[in-house]
Formats: sequence, structure tokens, C-alpha cells
Amino acid sequence: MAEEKTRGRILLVEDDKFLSTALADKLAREGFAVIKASNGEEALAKVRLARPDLVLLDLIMPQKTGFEVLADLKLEPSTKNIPVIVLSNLGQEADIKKAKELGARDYLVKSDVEMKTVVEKIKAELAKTVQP
Amino acid sequence: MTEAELREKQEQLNAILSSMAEGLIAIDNERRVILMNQAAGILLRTAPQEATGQDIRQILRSYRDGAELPYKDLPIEKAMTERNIISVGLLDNLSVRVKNGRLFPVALMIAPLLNRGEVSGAIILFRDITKDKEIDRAKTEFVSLASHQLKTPLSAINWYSEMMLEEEVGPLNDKQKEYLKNLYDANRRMVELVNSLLNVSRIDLGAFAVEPTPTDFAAVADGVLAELAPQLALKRLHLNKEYDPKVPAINADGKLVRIVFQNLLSNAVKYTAPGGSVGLAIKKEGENVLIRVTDTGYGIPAADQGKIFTKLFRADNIRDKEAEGTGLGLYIVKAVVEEAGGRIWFDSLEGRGTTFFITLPLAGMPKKDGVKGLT
Repeated sequence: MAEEKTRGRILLVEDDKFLSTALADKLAREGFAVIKASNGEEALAKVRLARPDLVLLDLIMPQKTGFEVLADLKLEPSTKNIPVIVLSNLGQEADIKKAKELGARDYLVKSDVEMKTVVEKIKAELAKTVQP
Repeated sequence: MTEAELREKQEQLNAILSSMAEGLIAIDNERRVILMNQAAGILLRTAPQEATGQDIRQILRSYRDGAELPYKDLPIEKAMTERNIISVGLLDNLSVRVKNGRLFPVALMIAPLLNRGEVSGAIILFRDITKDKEIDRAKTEFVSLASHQLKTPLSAINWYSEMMLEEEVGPLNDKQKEYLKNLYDANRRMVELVNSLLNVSRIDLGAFAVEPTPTDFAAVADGVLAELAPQLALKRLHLNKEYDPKVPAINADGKLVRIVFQNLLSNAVKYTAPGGSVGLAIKKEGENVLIRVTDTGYGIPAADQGKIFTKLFRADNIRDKEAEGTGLGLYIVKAVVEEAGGRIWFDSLEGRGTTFFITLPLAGMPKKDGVKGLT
């Protein structure tokens, strides 16, 4: 029972280990269950296995970029409704537009965003989607 | 001059022309080729003898973005009518079509040929800049790659120091807090510096995009002021806002407008002593929107006033007072304003304060495709 009392299950897709550790620690302290993936292929495999409530997705990664992961997730009926928040250092309008068109719910630029904000955005997305 | 001397001179001249690496074409007032050197022949795949007497419009067909330029827009015509030397470089994106249909990027220098004060033709000097273009592209890619790579460790420093400052992993004593705060602030400055450098390189390469959408200037300004609220409060600065309700939403690139407000307002806050005031007015003035940012700050010394829009320049009187500041902000603002068809100027008195004025057309910014937008 106790382990079910998390705020939700987050798949954290990030290839930089310092960033990944920072985010995973922060999210765990905030009460989320965190699953980590460090490349695009691993992310897709873990989505299918673990059915996360939300995916926090980097874009520039080895073995499938975040854009490709997004496109694949949205193609599959069983994963297309999982909310995805992009967290990348690509900050160009064109990148943001592309990610949103591919179905990203939100887009955050790593170097400009505080961790607090990342957590708030995740909570806001989950509040929208995880209605009983 | 004897005939032999004359012949020697002629041969000398021929040797010079045929040894040149640049293509050279001389035309008469009727735009007909009167002379073409070997390099020009090779570049255009046309024998110089064959070209002589032909209309330059048939020989040097110029293209931009895949479309042939109408003759009236050609730099040759401009040089001849304005009697000015015109140069066309890397950033002008001009190509020339050769006989076999191939296009090559070109740099040109055109000088009107003046004979007793009358334009009697023109000299066109040109070269193939395919290599320059490749280097240019490599440079742009390097800058964007390097900045992206730099941002990853900077984000890590940001996030770890943020978590420690929030005492998420245990309490800190006051000194530890102070040091960490310094670390955090210095890192934020580094992120801003990387963004500024990236913007400057895009400006210098002429590679930044302008994507106009209806933009509420007052809302953008308020967003920037909200970010500056902590500094305004810390320095107990008085803020005067004056927004003219007649200013409509303007078809402008919101990011660029933000860059303008961000730089001018943060400068005003940064360079004003505690207790002073900062003012912002956004007004309709004829066909323009006028933005006025006033402060009662340190002012710009008269001797430095000619240099403040220069890249990396910082005025003497503020270098000691404010360590923060890159000398890139106003350079970026000026480039943005001018790209948008606007104007920027200022009034300043050292020790009294500075007022910056910007006008931008209400008609909005022209769309411009570029490699990247500014951030």
C-alpha cells in the first residue's frame, strides 16, 4: 500500500548523468516514483514496460532523439495519451514548435528553468490528466 | 611614346589582367562588355572574346534565394546611378549563374567608371565564395553546438546549487549559504553570457530569424519588470510606467521585443544608485511606437557616448561600480532594432542619468528567415 502512495510515476529520459541524478533526486524527494532512461530506445522500451504517468524528455540523445521518441509514443494507441514534457537546452522557436506539434504538453529550457518550476509543471500536467 | 613602348605597356596590362585571381569585367555606359579577364572567363565559363560586346545582363545573371534578380535591383545599376562603389559580400547571398546552369555564390565589387565627371561605364570585380560560405556555415554550426554543450554543465551547476540553497539535503550555515548564493548567481551570469555570445554570433553572421506575430509591447515589458522586481526592491528604485492605450498589438517578434526591453530595463536598474528612479514609457508617435527608458543613474561619460553600441564596450565610470555586464547588450539591441526597421538613440549626462529612445514601425517587423532566432 505504501508504495502506491506516490504522486505519480515519472519516466525521466536524460543522457547527462549529472542532470539525471539531480532531477531523479529532486523528484523522489517530491514524492514521485522515478524510472530513468538514458537514450531514446531505452525510453521507448521503459514506457511500454512501466507505463509511467508522465515522461520528462530530453531531445538531444544517442539512439533516437527526443523528437523521434515523441513521434513513436504518439503513434502507438497505448502510449499516445501519456503526457510528455520536453526538458532540453534547445531553445529555438522552431524546436519548440516541432515538439509541440509532435504532441509535447510543455517545453522547458534547462539552462533557464529552476527545478522548482520543473516540479510545478509536472504537478500541473498530472493534475490535468490523472483524474480518477 | 613609341610603338614599341606602347606595345610593352599593353603587354604589361594584359599580364596583370590575366594573372588576377578575381574575375574582372569592364562595361560601357550601354552595359556592354568592353573587357573581360581570363579569371572572369573561367568563372563564368565564357570566353572573353565571345563576351566582348555582349550585354552584361546576359553575362552576369544574378540570383538571390533561387530567383533571378530584376536588372534594376542589380548592384551594377546601383553603382552606376548612385556613382558609388558597391560591394556585395557573404551576407548578401548573391549567386551568379554560369552558362551550364550552375549557380555559384559570389562576392562583388562594382565601381562606376567616371570620365570627366560623367559615368562612362563600370568595373566589376568578382570571385567565387563557395569556400567562404562553407567556412561560414561551419562557424555557425560550431557556435550553436558549443553553446549547447556549455549549457548542459551550466544547468547541472544551477540545479545542484538550487537544491542545496533550498536546504533540501540538510541545513547550511550563513557563510555556506552566502557562498552558494554567489556560486548560483555567477552561474546564472554565465548562462546569460553564453546566450549573449550566441546572439552576437548570429547577428554577426546575419543569421538570425525574425518571426513576427501580434505582440503586446506593454505585456512584454511587464513580464521583464516582474523579473526585475527583486533588484528594484533591493535598490529601493522608484518605477514610473506610462503605457499609451493607443498602442495596438504590433506584428513583431516577441522574443526580439523582449530582448530590447530586457537589456534596456536591466541596464537602467543596474546602473542606477539605490533610491533612484527608473521610468518606462510606451507611446504611439505617428506611424511608430516610441519606447523610452529613463533612469537617474550614473550616466554615460561624454567621451564614451560614441562607443556604447560597440561590441564588448563598457563605459569607464561603471566598470568599477558594476562587475556584472558583458558589453554585449546594447550591441544586440541596436542590431535588433535596426533589423526591425527602427531607430535607437539616447541622451545622457554623467552623474544625472540616461534616457534611451527607440522607435519601431507600428506596421511591424518584416519576416526574415534565418538559421536561428535570438534567445
